[in-house]
Amino acid sequence: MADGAYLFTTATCPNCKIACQLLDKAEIAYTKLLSDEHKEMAVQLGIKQAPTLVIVQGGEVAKYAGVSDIKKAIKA
Amino acid sequence: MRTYDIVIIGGGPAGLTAAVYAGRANKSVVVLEKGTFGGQITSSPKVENIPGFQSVTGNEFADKLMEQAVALGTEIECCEVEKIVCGELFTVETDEGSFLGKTVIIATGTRHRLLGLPKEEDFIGNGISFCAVCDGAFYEGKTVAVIGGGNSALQEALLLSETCKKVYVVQNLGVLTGEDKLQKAVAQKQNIEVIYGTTVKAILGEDALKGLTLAGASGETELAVDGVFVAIGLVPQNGIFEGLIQLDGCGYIVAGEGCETNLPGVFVAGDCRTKKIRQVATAAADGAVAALAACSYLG
Repeated sequence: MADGAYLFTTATCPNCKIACQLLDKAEIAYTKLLSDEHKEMAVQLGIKQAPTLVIVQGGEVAKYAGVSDIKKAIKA
Repeated sequence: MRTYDIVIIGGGPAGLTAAVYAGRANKSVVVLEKGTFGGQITSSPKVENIPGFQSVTGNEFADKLMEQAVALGTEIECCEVEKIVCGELFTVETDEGSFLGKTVIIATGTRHRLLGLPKEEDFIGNGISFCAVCDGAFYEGKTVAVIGGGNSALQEALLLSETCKKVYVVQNLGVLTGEDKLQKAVAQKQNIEVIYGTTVKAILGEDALKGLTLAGASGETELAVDGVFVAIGLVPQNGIFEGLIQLDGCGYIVAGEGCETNLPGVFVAGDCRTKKIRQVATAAADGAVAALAACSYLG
């Protein structure tokens, strides 16, 4: 998985929209992925909740599930 | 700093419904939510008791409700309220700045008390539930455990016993603490077994919940179950309002069906107020009542 920020979402998820707004407001570049269309990747990463922000950097993977954790990650 | 007609604290069904009603009354509204827009209902994979929906996921319902509120002009902000300062206007202070309101609706909801075990939060909505009315149907013919021994736990167990093959009630004390009438009803059910003096030490399973590790007088044992209903109490999220608004002994905001608090201009809606039934439908009803009361107060 290439370095970058990936936001796992679902089509009907109010908090995914909030997460997008927070990332956009913070001007953080990210790839939005619909979990249904990337099931294998979601399983591999152990994602069980939408939204989940995955940050890949130099082989290290950090996961932030839910709006409040994503907000904390943005502020960190 | 913009002044809103109504500042709504909490973005669950009560707060968002209040926003819909206030928006339709052409009031300026902001909804402040610290964690999950949609509230606890977003943890339910399938909801079948919301009027107008034969079946809907909690997320779908919350998504539609939020869309409806936003379409009516509601602003939404992801921030944590720290306190309300009373003056000519109400200043709602948050970790993202302050919001001024002519009125305030508190709709902070409750959180189910958790067991405090590893993996517990991961399994919520996927093996762990807090509401037999909402999720019991998913365990038809299966074996479940209810954790707790009070009125809620016994009511959950009785409801589940109608459809589940077997219901264990795991109670940490040597006795049940629910009403006698409920205890008698539980005792008459062939498929309910109460396990006394026992605590839950661990949740078993990886992708799916497989069971529980229990600790009792005879040591640790494993109990295979398909689902767990945790009923060890609710925790209202009203601590920040203490001293400003009247709370009852359990921390709920004191208000009747009119949703008015003891502080003029501050209203309350949903699970965080004193009431008997805490369901999505009753939260939405409160949202409507509180919004219309706030509109009436605004004149």
